[in-house]
Amino acid sequence: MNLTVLKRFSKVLLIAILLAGTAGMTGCKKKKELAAAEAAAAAQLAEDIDKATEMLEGILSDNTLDNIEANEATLEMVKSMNLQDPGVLNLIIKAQEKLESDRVARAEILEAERLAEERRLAELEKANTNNVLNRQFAALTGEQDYEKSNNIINNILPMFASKDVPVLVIVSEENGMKDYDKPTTIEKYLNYLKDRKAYKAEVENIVYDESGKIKELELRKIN
Amino acid sequence: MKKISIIIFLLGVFQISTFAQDDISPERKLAIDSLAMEKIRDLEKYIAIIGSKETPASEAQRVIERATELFMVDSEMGVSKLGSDKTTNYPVREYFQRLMALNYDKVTISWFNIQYISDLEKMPDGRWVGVITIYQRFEGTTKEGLKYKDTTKKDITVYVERKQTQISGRTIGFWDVLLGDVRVAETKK
Repeated sequence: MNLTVLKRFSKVLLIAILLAGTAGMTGCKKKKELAAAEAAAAAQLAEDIDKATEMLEGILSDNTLDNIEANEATLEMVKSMNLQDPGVLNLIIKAQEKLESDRVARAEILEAERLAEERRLAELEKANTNNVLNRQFAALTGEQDYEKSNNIINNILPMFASKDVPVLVIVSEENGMKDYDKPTTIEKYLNYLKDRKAYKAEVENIVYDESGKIKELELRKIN
Repeated sequence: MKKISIIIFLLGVFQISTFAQDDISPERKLAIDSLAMEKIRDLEKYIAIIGSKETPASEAQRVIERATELFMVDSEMGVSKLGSDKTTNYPVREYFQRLMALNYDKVTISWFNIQYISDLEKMPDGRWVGVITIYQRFEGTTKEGLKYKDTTKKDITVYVERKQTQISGRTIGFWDVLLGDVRVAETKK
């Protein structure tokens, strides 16, 4: 009876030992796999940090203002990697500041270019108006017929705010000080050209009113 | 050495007095000479327009106003006739009106040999005064085809004064050129 019990107990013990041994072997294997996975994750993280650092440094070293949008997309990509590496986080802040500064610089350049273009167009328009007036004044001096001359005058006058707009003719200039002929009005000046049949001046400066009409005309006498 | 210093001092004084007398640079003086001469040319053109029978009356009246504005108030225009020693002086506006109404079918007036006979000089009152001489060729033809021609030498006194005015709130300096009396110096065929 005791022997039988002992035998059974031995069998049970053996099975328990075998089971315990098998269980111990399985736990060890999982630990190794975990360690391997952790090592792989760490390697991936290091690789991501390197990649992110490289991309961010690329943004920071871009001295042009030509790639702001592309650099912004790169920055967003880096941010979406959610890296918590202090070095990367620091570079992200620097890249954000740089891109903001680039945007401001580009806006300033574009504004300066816009203003320069506006000035160029204004100069062009001024030159065009000057040429138009110079041509019309010259045309008036070439017309012999009174009716036709008066028609030319009637076509020119609407460009002016009124027929009494002052016309100043510079006769000489020295050290920035201008000497003028006696000031006249546009109506009188146009009739003067009609009578004299000679236009020996050039448009020097035009002052416009709010409605775009000429409110002052400055000519320079030429010999 | 003392003599040289005195000479330099005297030259300096002479230069200062010359500058004070002229008061303006040669370039500016040239500009006012030219401006005054231009007013004479304006008058020449106006007289031709007023005298021409092809000028519409309304235009002639307008030009008379412009021509009158060239002159100082109370200025006179001398008129002479061939075969008479008498010279009549008319107020300029009256002269222009008479010129417009001349009883000819065609009138041609032209000027030539226009030049300064007395350069513009600065007067103590600050004005510049000079005399310009012109030769006026007059040719009138009647309806019947009869022609009257003469050439008159006339002397025109010119006054130039520096003035200032306000234009759009700023002060500008200008030369006011005004013509004085026009005197007949000589009349010939």
